[in-house]
Amino acid sequence: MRLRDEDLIDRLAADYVLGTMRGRARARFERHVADDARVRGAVADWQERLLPLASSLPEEAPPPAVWTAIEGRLFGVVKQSAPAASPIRRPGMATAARWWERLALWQSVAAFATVAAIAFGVALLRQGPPTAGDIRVALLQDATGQAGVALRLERATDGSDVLVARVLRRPEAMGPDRVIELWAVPPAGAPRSLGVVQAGADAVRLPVRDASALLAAAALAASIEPPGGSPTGAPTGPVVYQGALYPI
Amino acid sequence: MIDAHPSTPPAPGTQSTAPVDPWAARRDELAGLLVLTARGDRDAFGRLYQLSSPTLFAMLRRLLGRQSWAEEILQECFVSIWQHASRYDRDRSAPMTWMAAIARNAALDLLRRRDAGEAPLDDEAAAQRPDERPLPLEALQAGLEARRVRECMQALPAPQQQGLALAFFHGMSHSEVAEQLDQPLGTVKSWVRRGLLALKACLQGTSPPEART
Repeated sequence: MRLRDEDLIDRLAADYVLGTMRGRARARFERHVADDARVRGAVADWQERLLPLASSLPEEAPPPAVWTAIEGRLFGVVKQSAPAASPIRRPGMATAARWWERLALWQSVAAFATVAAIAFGVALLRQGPPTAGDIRVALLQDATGQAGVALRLERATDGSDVLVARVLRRPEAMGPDRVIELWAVPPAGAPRSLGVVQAGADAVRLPVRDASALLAAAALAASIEPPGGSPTGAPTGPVVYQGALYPI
Repeated sequence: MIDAHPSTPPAPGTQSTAPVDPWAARRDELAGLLVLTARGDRDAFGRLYQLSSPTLFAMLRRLLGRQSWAEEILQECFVSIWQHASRYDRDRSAPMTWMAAIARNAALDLLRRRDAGEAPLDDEAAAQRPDERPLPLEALQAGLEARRVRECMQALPAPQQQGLALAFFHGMSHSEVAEQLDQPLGTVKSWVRRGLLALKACLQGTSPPEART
């Protein structure tokens, strides 16, 4: 069967490229694309018209695990540093990569943001009293690089370690009763809760029991949780910000 | 810093400080890399990934509404690019357009399978999808580089713009757009159709086809 009407071909091609053509109609139209040069031409025209719109989006670097997986599939390259189970899974498999596996890998590319993050973090956090020990700061950012939470790890005069968290921007999608919970993501294993910034609060001082574990963390992250924090001890809501600690 | 640093090409995003429109500024470089990729040049393929994946990933993340799906489809897309690079014809289409078409087709196919119940829409996806969606007009205004199509898009009446943007950026069907905008399906279909026709006329009116990028 051939599509005869030029206008019809044009309309279907536009719907196909825009993506509003779905379901069986899409599969059917793809057969016309394969069989009919005029249909192919109409599709190519619409692609040239519409697809440059995608360049209007701010660029987002994919996590390095994606490239590792591509190399693995095409060239059989296996990374020693990659966990035994690849964090990339096929779409059909319901289990998503545990977010902290992706997060740890992410961190290695996110490092480019450090200079700006440190400068910004220092400016924001240099307000507390002078402290005895090393000071570390972290700026947790969302996927577009916008700062969400500033953290400072400091040693109080009594020798205890304190993590000062300041919320710079509440996540847009966050309900009024939700809280932000902070997490340390170790190089291996599940994240550990650092504490909760209560709803309505914009800063909090959290006691740190094991600062060395915090310093060894591959990444820090913030998730949206129900009042009181995650009921399970692991993040249950979306991870909205992430970053890493740096010395100042 | 952990030692999970990936091998040769990536660290995408570390190179470009200023926003670059890969559709235009890098057209020749990308086309050359695709030709080399077709000959089995892995380094060229790695560079191609480095230059083009941030734009494609941004598109896929919005289209699919979920990070892990976008990662999976990006992977599919580049496996396909490696395998089919010899089909790329630089005289017929811009390299980013060719690659974006592969990525979008894979993504829309996944959405189609999801609609048909063949791919699971799990709780995480259900919870994230609405949250992660920026307003379509914001998405349109965010750092627009493809100037001509942007200008033509902005010349459209707001409802047509919104309908097109929800479909294009967020992979919504007509009925999903209708639901999102709280409008009858027929109205939305007509907005999208009139928007597409106006866009076509506008693009044809402003420059000859061979000047397309």
